[in-house]
Amino acid sequence: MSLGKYWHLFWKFRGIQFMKMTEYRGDFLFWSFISILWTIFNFFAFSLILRVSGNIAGWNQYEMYLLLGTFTIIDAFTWSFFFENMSNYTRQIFKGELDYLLTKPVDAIFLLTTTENSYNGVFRLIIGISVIIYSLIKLNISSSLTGVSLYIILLSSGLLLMYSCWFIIATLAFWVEKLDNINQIIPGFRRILQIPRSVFTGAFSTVLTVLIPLALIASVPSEVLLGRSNLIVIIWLLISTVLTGFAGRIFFNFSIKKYSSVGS
Amino acid sequence: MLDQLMIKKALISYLKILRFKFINILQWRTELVIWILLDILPFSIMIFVWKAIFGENVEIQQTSFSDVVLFYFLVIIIQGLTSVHFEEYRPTEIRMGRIDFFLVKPYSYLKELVVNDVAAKFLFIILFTPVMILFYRYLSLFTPFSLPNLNLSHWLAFITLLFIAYLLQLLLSMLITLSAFWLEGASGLSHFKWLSISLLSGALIPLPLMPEWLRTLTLALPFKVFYALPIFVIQDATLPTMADWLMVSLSVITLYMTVLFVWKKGVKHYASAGG
Repeated sequence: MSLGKYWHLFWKFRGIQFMKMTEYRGDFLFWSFISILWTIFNFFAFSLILRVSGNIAGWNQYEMYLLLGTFTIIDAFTWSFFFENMSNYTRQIFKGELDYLLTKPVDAIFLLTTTENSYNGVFRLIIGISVIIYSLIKLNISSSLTGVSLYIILLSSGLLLMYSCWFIIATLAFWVEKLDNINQIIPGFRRILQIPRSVFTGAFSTVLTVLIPLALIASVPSEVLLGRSNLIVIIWLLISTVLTGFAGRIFFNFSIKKYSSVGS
Repeated sequence: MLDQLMIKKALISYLKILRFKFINILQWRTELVIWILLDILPFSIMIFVWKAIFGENVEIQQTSFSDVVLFYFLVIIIQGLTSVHFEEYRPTEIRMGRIDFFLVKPYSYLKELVVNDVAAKFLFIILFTPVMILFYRYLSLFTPFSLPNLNLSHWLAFITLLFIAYLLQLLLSMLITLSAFWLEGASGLSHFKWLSISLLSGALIPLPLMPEWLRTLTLALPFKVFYALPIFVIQDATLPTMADWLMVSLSVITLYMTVLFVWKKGVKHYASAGG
């Protein structure tokens, strides 16, 4: 299948999920409200800390809000897209229902990682973008088109990196009997994304910025907007995204050999 | 005499159920270990944040970095020992009409909720203790922190407060679970529970570092029993006042009565598909 067909299929899935959302409007409003509350809570928690210190590792109040805005965008994707698909993926492995997908003339990983989504994070996404714009105004920073483009590229790269890490962990479902909280592992690491990478020191810094560069996901795009980007770190974020993506595919192809279905 | 015999019989049967539940829960041990690590992680990261904030400063607002580390260490322990999560998945069985079994047996659904969680808590404590000892050793290397001089009354008060906090969490979770008799998205209400506890119990940042209005609000509400009061006992060697004890006791009684009332009403409202 050509790339164009995949693009078309991707948006077809979004359309189907949108129709589902319109069917359960009450559900959508309720969960959107909860996601808004948690977003406000996140900002509030950090405002308490910033009230004490004025800055965190050299990031002042509005620079921190910009970082938290970037985190909020990532969080919107985490719960509305990644979590929905990964839950579906592991559920199909544990129930032995994966053969439905494996026999389709479409890439299995594409189907597994893009079919589902919810729209509960839309307001979270809007809040994240609004906070970034507000922080930029307060910081008196006017970003160039190149800066914004680079921000979007690095944010997408960070999202892909996170998704690939999550996919690798979810693929472990082929190897374990049953692990209901397997999809809570990556969200459990979200706090790392909320703080500047410079907060981590020593061995933790090496682990979280080089080996498993989760600390770069929100920090690096935010640094680009703030005009304090580091070329080596940007390149490393892009390389590690590609490497993790490939690692995810290789691990999936290896693990699928272990799969047994229920004869559906 | 007959009463004593009946109580003894009931106790033995509950211990047997507890043992059975414990064995049943053992299959989820890997999950519990993951939960423990995921519980520790966010607070460990907060320690890095505060380390960056303190920098070269010995104290900020009369609070040292060691105080902050001890605060988060206690938050992790209290959270591990008292948090209850069954309201996130148990409402489904009420919504799906799968609790008939408990309605025809001399073992009510409410008892099932409690016994199941207590068994899981036992296993959690067994796994949690060595992890926390290792974590304590690690934190001691990171920054030296020590407990003030505490006597037996402090430890007794701490354990009692933890027990009450656990009881309150159990009752809150039961109330949310039972709301499934009427509400479709009952499990979503758990978010309100966590938001209220996170915001108003004194678990976010040490009390001396809070803004005045939040500190006043935290100390005025019974949510303080979840974190602020137990932490006060250990970190400041301050025992709760009579008013504190009265407030938390009243909260337990009120919640208990509400749970019983909601259960009675809920069962009448319940309909199943012939399970």
